[in-house]
Amino acid sequence: MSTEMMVHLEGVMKRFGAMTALRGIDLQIKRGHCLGIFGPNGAGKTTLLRILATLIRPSAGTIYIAGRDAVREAEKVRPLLGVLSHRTFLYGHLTACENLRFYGRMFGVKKLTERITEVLQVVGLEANSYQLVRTYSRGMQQRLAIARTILHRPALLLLDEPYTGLDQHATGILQELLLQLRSESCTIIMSTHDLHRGLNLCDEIAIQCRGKIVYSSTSLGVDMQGLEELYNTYVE
Amino acid sequence: MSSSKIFIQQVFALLAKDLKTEWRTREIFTSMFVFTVLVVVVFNFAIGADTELIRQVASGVVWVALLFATVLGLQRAGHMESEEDSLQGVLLALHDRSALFVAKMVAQMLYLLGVVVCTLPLCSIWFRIDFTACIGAFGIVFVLGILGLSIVGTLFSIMVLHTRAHEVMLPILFLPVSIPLTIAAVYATAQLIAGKGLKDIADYLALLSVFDIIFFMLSIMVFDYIVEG
Repeated sequence: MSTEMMVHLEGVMKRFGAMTALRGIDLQIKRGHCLGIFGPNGAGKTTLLRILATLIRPSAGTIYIAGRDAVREAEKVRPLLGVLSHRTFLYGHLTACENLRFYGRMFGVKKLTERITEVLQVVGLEANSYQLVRTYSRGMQQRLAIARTILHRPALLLLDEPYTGLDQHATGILQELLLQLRSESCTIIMSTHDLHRGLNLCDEIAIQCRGKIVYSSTSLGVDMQGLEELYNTYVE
Repeated sequence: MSSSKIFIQQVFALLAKDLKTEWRTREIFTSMFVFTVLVVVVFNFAIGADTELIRQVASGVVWVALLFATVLGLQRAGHMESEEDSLQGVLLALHDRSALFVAKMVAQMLYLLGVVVCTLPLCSIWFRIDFTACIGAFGIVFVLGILGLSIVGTLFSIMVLHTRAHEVMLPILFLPVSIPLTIAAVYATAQLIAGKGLKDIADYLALLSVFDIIFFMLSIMVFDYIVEG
């Protein structure tokens, strides 16, 4: 396998009892690239991201992340990953600082206090850092979740519908941050319903439907209208 | 950093987070303590003034109260982890997932020990039993018993977290498995209340220890698969 590949999936399947969520996913993503996965509800996008995040094991197939087997060497792969979902993974009875300190200690982040200040500034929450998270608005919680995701400087970002529930301010912060991370050669995989944002950010696109990648290409030369047509063709 | 150092660091981080949250909310300890005291009070009134009868049933009452308090505490703890899917966030950060099991088990054990320390003085007043007579022996029995309850309880509470009726499933799985441990703990405590010493309860202590070791090893072995849900 080429060392420039960040993610390499071959024949990945996932069954939940009688239901098959993924039916043989093959995917390759180069380091520093950004892949947008589009698809309707129930296409298996979240399952795919959960498998990549080592939260669940595939029923069949192989997954390599940064050259490591993500099933057998999951503990070595996890520190490379940053996962942002529509759930924040935060503890409401801890302050923003305490939440970040907890996750920072879990990931063994060096110079943690400075790094916490840094990421809180990125998401514009430094003034509220000693406030309990349960007193935050939904948008503020999502911004803190963004800070949690990038705290340990992950090499691969997995974003599951990242814009869901974000207010205008948080959407702007996320968009800016993703562009910055891309320029820093961070690999990004994002599942979204938002074709416009996905196309603007990603240099590779894939359409997933009924547990299969039915279309994939670079985003070069694909405009919004073309993407909509592709999406409608493959999904319908 | 070596794997064992990361493991210890993660266990302490998880434990500190759980204890800090509990210190702030006092939800788990308060519910466990109030429940235990209520059970003891109710039995005290139900049994009446028969001192001999009280001495016979006291150990059973205390351990049954602790058994159900464990269920209560674990349900509260599980609820905190499922809010905002925080457990998933923790799983993403874990090097060895059994660190989560160890941290949760130690936290549960500390809550239960706190309940015992606060409840036993009340029991000695209501049941007219002097627990200080052989405090070391009582300590050993309670630590081994509580350790066993925490191991089995933590294992099942994580197992049922993603099931639909997890509040019903936890006692259904946990209570039957805890029966051998509870029986040994009840008999050992009863013997100590009756004035016997450590030598007389050696068999029960051995049973408690074996139970704890077997379930701890088993939990560590299967936890990675269980937590995946």
